[in-house]
Amino acid sequence: MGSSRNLTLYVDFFSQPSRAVIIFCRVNEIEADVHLVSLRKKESRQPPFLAINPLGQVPAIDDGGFTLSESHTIMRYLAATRKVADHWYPEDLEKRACVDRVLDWHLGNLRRGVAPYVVHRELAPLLGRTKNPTLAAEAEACLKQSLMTMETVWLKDSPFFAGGSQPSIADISSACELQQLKLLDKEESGALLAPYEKVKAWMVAVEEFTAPYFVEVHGELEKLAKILQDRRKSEAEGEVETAPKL
Amino acid sequence: MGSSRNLTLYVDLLSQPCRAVTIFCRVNEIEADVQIVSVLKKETREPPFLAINPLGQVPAINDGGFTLSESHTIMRYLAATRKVADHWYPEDLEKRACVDRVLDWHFGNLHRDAAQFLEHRELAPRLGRTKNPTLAAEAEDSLKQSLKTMETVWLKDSPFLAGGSQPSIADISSACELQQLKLLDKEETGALLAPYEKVKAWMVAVEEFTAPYFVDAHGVLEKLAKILEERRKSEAEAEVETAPKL
Repeated sequence: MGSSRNLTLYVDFFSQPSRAVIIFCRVNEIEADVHLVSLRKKESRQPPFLAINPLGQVPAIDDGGFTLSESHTIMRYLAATRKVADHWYPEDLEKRACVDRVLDWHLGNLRRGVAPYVVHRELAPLLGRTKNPTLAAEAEACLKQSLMTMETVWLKDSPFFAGGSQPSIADISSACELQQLKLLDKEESGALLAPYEKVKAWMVAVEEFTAPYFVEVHGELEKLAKILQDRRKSEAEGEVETAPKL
Repeated sequence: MGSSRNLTLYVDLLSQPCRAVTIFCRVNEIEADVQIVSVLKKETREPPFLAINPLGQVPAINDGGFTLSESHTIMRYLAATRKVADHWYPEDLEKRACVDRVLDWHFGNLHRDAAQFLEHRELAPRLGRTKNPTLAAEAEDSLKQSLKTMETVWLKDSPFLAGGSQPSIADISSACELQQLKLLDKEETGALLAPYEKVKAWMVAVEEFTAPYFVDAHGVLEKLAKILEERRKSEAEAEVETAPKL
């Protein structure tokens, strides 16, 4: 165990939890080979990858033969085995519990808001699925509730989530989650985030603390966001052109 | 910190994560005052409880002034501060990661699927909401996938979910989740679980290891399950009586 092991990360840059793990590794100078596993090409469901993670999900790691999945678990494990700076996952049991609490809250709340919202407002056709407006509406409600919780509870008295003056793995995880909203129409996501001043300030703070890695790791997502924005623009113009002339 | 603090648990025993925390405390002889907070009566949304957990959710704890929510976080924190037996949440980093992995998997899989299935097969109309048969069908498929994961991955080589020969907090959490299915028609639940021999054996093993606390904690759920069973029976009889006579 420790830094002498060979670590391989299996990731897809379009996956929020994959990005969180990569940023965490880079910011902490944890050496790792990075294997890209394309979700769109369904590579995560094929035998070579299934040997690493039989659940067929990214991110996953192979640490000198020890395989693991679930981004929060991976970050907790790497924080401990690579002995990173304490603020990422504190030794103090109360501080650690504050980080765990946000990590768990994320899985049951923010993830359940963002992921289906982005799928059912935008991504579904790209993934061979059908948009479902009911699920989009439910996800939107969950997302707004989650943003309210971030604004009024997690960020109430501190610049980062778990009460610390420096970020923890919970901040990286949630910040990557929110970035997924970039795949939506810019005005729509802008309007969604507009009421939440602390959340917006926090996003900047996380990006700055993990610079330049945060922006680098989000490069692919930005490219896709631009393609989707251009496509939406042409579709809107196409509609205007084909609208009946009055 | 440690066993000299006054610990209060805020729970509603109809809630799966509340039962998990309660059973964990009892099996480890962790002294605690138990305050019942009813979700159905909306006591979780009232000021006294919101002072403990502004998110308005159970379970929550107050440990000598330190408040916490999220059942997995609570169990991790109590395991460490009360120095329970190692198998519940191991010190060894690889074994611990295996427990964390199942705990995290639980949120997006077993917990989400079981809750959605229950909502749209049974509970929705009884709580003033609308059943959605499509969502029920999707949840059922997903739930079967989760059961398959338990059967073929988590329980593949060991009697408990995280690879140990004794249970961890992941076993308590998931076992309480599956018990929630008792609120459904008995035959239907029986049929759902039928193919999963290892899962069924595991449920018995968890119950035995935590006896008598597991059954005790599920008393309230069992009562509700019986009430629902009788109600379904009367509803079925009413339908037969009002069916057109041919």
